[in-house]
Amino acid sequence: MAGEAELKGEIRFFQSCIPSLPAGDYRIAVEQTLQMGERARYNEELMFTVAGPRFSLAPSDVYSVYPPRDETGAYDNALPHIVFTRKTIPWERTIDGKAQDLNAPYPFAALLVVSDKDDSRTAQQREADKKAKKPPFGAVRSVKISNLLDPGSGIRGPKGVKLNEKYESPDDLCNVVDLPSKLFQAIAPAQDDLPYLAHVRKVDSDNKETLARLGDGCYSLIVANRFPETTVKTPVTKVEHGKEVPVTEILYDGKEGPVFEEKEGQKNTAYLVSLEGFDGCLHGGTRITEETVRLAVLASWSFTCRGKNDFKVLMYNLDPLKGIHEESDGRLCVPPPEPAADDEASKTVAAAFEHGYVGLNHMVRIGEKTVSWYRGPLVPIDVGKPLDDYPFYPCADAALGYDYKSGLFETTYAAAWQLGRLLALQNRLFAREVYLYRREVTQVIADEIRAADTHKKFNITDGKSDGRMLERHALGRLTSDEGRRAVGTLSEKGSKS
Amino acid sequence: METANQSENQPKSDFELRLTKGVDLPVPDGIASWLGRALLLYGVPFNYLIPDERMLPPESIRFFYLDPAWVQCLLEGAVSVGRGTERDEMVDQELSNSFLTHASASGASLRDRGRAGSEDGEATASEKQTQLNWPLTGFLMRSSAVEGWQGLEVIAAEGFDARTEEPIGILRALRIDRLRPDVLLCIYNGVIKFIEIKQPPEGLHFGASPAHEGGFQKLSVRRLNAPAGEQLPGPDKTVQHGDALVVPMRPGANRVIKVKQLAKDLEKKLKDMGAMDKQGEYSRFTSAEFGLQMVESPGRVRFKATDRRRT
Repeated sequence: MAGEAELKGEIRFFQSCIPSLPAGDYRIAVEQTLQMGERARYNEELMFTVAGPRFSLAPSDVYSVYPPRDETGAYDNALPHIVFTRKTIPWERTIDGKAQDLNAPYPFAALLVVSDKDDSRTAQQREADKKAKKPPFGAVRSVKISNLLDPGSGIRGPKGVKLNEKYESPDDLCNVVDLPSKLFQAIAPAQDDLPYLAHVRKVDSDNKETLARLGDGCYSLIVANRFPETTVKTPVTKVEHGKEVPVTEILYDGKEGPVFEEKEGQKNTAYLVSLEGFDGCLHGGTRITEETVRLAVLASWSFTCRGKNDFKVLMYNLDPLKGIHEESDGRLCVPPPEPAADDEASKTVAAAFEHGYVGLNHMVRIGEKTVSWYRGPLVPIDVGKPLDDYPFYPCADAALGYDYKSGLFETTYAAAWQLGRLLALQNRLFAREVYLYRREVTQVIADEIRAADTHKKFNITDGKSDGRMLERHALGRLTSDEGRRAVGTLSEKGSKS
Repeated sequence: METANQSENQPKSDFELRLTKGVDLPVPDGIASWLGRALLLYGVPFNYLIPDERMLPPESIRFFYLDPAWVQCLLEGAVSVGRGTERDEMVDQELSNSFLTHASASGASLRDRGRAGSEDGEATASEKQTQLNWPLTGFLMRSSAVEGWQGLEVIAAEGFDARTEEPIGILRALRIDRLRPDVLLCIYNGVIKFIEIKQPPEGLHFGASPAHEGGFQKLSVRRLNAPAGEQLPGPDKTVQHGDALVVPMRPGANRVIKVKQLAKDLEKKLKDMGAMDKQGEYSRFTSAEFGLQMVESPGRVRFKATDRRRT
């Protein structure tokens, strides 16, 4: 498979990336003894704390999730996962508060996949829970940390977790979810499963967006241990020659596939929960006697299993791409009105659209309202000149175009000019730098003119900066026609004097 | 104000003549890099880029040329700040090309700036020599895939081998950025004829195929010893019924995998097939090996773009 060849060298898998300093309090002490003269001893101490995410993760720590947040598609054969921007996150804490076992490091968090089909309450119980104002099934709520660690009777929270007063307070907020203990112990990974559910990937970020390119290409992941819940798919059938046969359709890749009927998508929610304080009572461990567990949610998202949507289908359905064997005409322009009218005005409009123009409301300086043409910097056709082959415009209005035939302004370049000026003004540092640089250049030019005048006046022909030196200097530097003409004049003048 | 006497000594044409003379003052780096960013349209509001939504409807991809005149006007407008007198204007006119040259040089290497590991002096120097190769082209993609698959990889090339279906002449990306969560803007140093969009490898998911009897199976495993990575569907490289590895599921709990058991099963299968070392440094089956076995192949789509020369 071609896909496999691409895989080679593009991803590297690592078992783990354990932070060199586990979360906790540290003390650095430095002592220096001077041997010369009076022996003296100097020492200095510094306390510091390494924090690790325990009750919450910053949104920026999460790089991506799969299946995509709030997307609908064919995700029922995939294990959901979450990718972190920091390669050490899964191992920054431990579930039992002890140091990581370097041979089989355990992530401290797990990804639980839950759907409302996991809600095994009867209708009566639901009604009762609703009246008792219990949170809805699987709802993520924001509570104080004290509420998580000491949740009250009938609820099991993380046990034996001591807050680090340096950066944690019982009044801080965190996200929690309440799940039936039975469900939690049925779907949570077994303690022995955990080491397999997190790893690090290193990828080549050369063809990624600029922001992602700045990192080292290392990402850590935590994978779920459960496939998402899906609805029952019934194959659609038709009767042909007295027999029932499945209905098929041609898929995006040209293959034939059966058509399924799905009534409704199945919504699933993935929760990244911290397992700290649940040591020994995961799946297969000690039974939790309390009816409910309360878990700290580090991240959560929902997705729906329905239909065939996935990455390839999305790509193949992009307008107007039709795959590699057909060229696509995806010009960046407003599609001309259909059906095309035959009158002159409509033709002009269609032609303008085709060249990337749009008509925009324009209030001209004297207050008149009109419609003017505008085109962005991204155009559907090759305009064909290199960058420096355009006239210099001293101001925005100089770049304003006017079409006598239609009586319309062409505001493209005037708008670009004005925008450039506004962007420059927005950045004070840049504006200042431009101003200073121009002043400096003007000063140098003025100095040279003064020097040249002086030389002319006193007819100095030798020395470093005589008239001819200046002339040669100019010759070497000027390449434009205008420049050459100017040098020509200068030489004439020089020979005359 | 010039007196008659002065204008005799210093005719206006002479003054202009000297102003057109080049000046040896280098354009400061701060200005060059700001202009380089502006050249690649950083900071240009979305509405200026796409003035009409019909140009880029949902779930679409659109190709474009970068209009050099537009960019030039943008840059000239930018360096016009603080211009006061006519003399300033002449200086600016003279400096205009120098500004453009520096902006181009800076824009060409923009994507490498501040990159981790770019301190390597030599590489940076060679990158700086990159010239902008007008016309610059690019494409815009608006899709929920841009939002859902963080870290999409895009490759553009100026040609395409019809026989091998491989790109020829990979173009240098000048800018790949998301303008909105679902809109990706890519600008390349040259004319795009071919693009390839790849699912981000860091986000490849763990998957299994549905088994006929319900449940899940892995149809293939990947070789872990040399030649590494090769896909092995079964002992004789074809998928036989019964060859596939049934994913062990936890009884009772719906759709939960026995992860450790699955890892052990995979390890056993690989070692039985001789696709993994039985002894030595690489004989341990950790989460890394587990991950390599479980990830699905990356989705990849390739497209040809129409040659859209001036019509």
